[in-house]
Amino acid sequence: MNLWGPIGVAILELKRSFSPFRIGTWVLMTAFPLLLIQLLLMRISPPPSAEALEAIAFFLIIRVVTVMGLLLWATPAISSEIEGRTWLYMATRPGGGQSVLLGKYLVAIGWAISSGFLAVLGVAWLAPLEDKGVFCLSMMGLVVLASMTFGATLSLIGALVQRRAMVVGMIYLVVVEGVLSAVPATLSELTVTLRLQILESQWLLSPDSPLVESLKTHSTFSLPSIVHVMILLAYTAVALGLALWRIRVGGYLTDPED
Amino acid sequence: MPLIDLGYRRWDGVRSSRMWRALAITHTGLQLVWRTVWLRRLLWFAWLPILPVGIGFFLYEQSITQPDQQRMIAEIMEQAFDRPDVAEIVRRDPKEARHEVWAQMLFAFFRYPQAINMVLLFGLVAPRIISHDLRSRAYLLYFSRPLSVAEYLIGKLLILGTLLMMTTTVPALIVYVFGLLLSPDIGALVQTWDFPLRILLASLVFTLPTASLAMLLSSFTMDSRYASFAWFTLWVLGWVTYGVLTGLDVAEGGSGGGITLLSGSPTTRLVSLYHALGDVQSVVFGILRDPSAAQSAIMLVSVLTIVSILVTYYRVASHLRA
Amino acid sequence: MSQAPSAVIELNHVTRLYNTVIGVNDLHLTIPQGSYGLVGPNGAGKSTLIGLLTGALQPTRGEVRVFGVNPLKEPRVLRRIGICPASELLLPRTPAIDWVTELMMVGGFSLAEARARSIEALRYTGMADAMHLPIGSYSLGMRQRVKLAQAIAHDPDLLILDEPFNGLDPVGRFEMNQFLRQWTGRGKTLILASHVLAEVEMVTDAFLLIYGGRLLAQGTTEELRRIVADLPQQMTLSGPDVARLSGRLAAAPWVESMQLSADRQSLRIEARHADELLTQLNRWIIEDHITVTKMVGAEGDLSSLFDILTRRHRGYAR
Repeated sequence: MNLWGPIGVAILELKRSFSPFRIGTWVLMTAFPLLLIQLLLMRISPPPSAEALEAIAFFLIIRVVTVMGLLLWATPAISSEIEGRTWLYMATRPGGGQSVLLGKYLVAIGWAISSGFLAVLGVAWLAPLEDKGVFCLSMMGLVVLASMTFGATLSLIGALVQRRAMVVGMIYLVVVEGVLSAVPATLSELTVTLRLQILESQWLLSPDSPLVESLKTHSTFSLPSIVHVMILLAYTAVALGLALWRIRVGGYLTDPED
Repeated sequence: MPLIDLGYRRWDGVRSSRMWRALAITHTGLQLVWRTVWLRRLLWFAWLPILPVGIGFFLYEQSITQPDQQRMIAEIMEQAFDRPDVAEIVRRDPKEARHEVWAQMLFAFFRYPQAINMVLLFGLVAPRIISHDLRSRAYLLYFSRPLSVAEYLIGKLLILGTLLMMTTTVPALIVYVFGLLLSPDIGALVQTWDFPLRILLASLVFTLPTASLAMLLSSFTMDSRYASFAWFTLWVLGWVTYGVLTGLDVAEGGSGGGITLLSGSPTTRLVSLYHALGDVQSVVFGILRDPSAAQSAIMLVSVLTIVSILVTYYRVASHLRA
Repeated sequence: MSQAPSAVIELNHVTRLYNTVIGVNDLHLTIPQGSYGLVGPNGAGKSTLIGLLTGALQPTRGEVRVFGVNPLKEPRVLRRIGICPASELLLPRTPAIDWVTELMMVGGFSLAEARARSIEALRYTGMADAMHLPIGSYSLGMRQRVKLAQAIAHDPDLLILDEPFNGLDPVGRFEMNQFLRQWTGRGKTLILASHVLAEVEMVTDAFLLIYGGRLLAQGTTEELRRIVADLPQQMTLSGPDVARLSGRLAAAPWVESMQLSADRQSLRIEARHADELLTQLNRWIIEDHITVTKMVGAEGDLSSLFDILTRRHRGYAR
């Protein structure tokens, strides 16, 4: 695989992403947390605490819109080429399949990060937070980490599951990252969400927050932030590596079903 | 130039009635989707929830003759289903509570496992149901036959309806019969004769809006992944919005949750299609005594169904006009 | 067939299975530099063979080597291969220039060079005016040209075309012919897969005949005709009094079998020495004043040709 391959794929994918549907999706994902938080601020008197708003912002931006955006951008990387009957053209070029995966991954996290950053800035502007600077920096860092790691795992799902990748991705997000991450057991240590929640608790929340209390039961809670960041980066590298290896092995059916 | 006699023009058989034409679309569509391995796996998985429901029916029927178990049933009704009224009746006379208990369990069956199953099932099958025909221009082949757009859409709708009914209506009817067979006396049939009709109505209420919405999304794009994404996003964002606003309702002194999730105000539940459908189904099963409380939800679901069908019709027909 | 010092393609007892379905079965051949027609009916294994040559498919058994290396283990050899698959492009909104540029970049060219090569290739295939329009607006023939452009833009040494004439009008077919002749004239290797013998004959006289996943024959047109000429061929005569030929045919030593239809309007003949059969038939028809309204033979009929060769391979024909 050469460097120009992923760049070429990323350029075309970026051009394709400026379609009305994708732009509309991006706007919806960016605006959704802002709309909900604005609704909360309008209807509750007195308004929720700064910490509660930060926790809600984390949930909406990191665990909902970033992840949903990546479900659209990253998961169907391979299946969309197969459905468009263009996979064979890529697969018969040196490192072509891997270029597709990496190129689309780069565009996916680009869109997710841009959407997340704007949402964070919007929330910081709207909500009565104590330290907007810390909030913005922490949340943006979390957006980048979440985009990279979830993007990699969803790309891996897309590489492993040739057909119906988005459905499997959805099941993974709900069952693993949604339900399992909340289970107070070793199993949840393997999830991306738990790592992000621990970082959230260390960077944003106060030590006596209820969320922090619930996270303290996990054995890795007290590890420094850098360790959790490294774990997330390792997840990213492993997921991308496995995806690239799977594509290298090949054997994708080039005729879409039906 | 004389017409060339190709032989088949001499066929003088009788064509099938127009009303069955849509079934040809349905039959072919079901054959095609049945080839999907993931679908077959999902259908097997979707039948698992009848086990706890069946066990629930069994325990309840046993409790009629065993007072110890009556307390357990009453507690479940109170804690899990947030129905202290039914719990009271169970403690007083379990037989009298049969209709309410059965209704609650069937409602829970439709509401939780099968609703999630529906989202996954339609997410698996529905995105390609029209988009693939548009992308591959197969619709030109369909409409070169004596087939109207309405018949085409009915056929497609029946594909989704059949799949969903296989995982909701059929298991619900089976568990109902199971409950009858487990009951200690024939009086159960007298008390619950209306349930097959309620099950069918709940299935219709469940299937029609969701299937027409899924078809609408599929008709808007030639790329099935966009339809798939839109489908999942609709449910996720609706649920999240509802969750945030319900927390708001609780903070303002509203009712808390319970397994029924009929918490929050009726207006709040309109932001989530899942919860609006739940309101309508609760009317069907008689859990919500006053249908006017679910008026908004009924209106929303009806409007959604009609608009979805009309827009889908327009979308498909516009390709023929192009 | 031209002789070259080293093989471009080597298949060493290659088999590819799709679960229990045989894609190709024990292919063993060496192809030097030159142009070849890969001819076979639909489902014969042409696309499977192409997939094996390009590394898109892994052989179940055996080994594939292209330019001396295994394309699965050393994908860099794909840089020397250009492929134009048979499947239709479904890219509704992407302009051809953008898509071909992307493919060139995936192949290792820089953005500027990829763009330049793509423009040149699209101009060469007659897409100069339409290259900036979305592929979804193209006719079938235009999409074929785009597919050809991406296959040649990186100037490969081996060009593999799968059904390239599909959807082309007569002018397009002529232009494709011209291009392919020029291509092979440059010393490059060409594999042209088609189920229509006549199309392939216009470009090359060297064939690989594949059927049922097996290689039935390999050689030039002349060698093929000599093989076929020695094999029993079928011919069907239709007319009101063709039955009167039966006596003449029964006496001919090179007639293998005859079958008269129930209505006595059709006579099917199986005979060796097709040229002798035709000569004698013409003479008998004139001498005996027999009315023949239709004559269908094996000559030019690919399915009959394969039927003959398959029967020979199975030992049914000598």
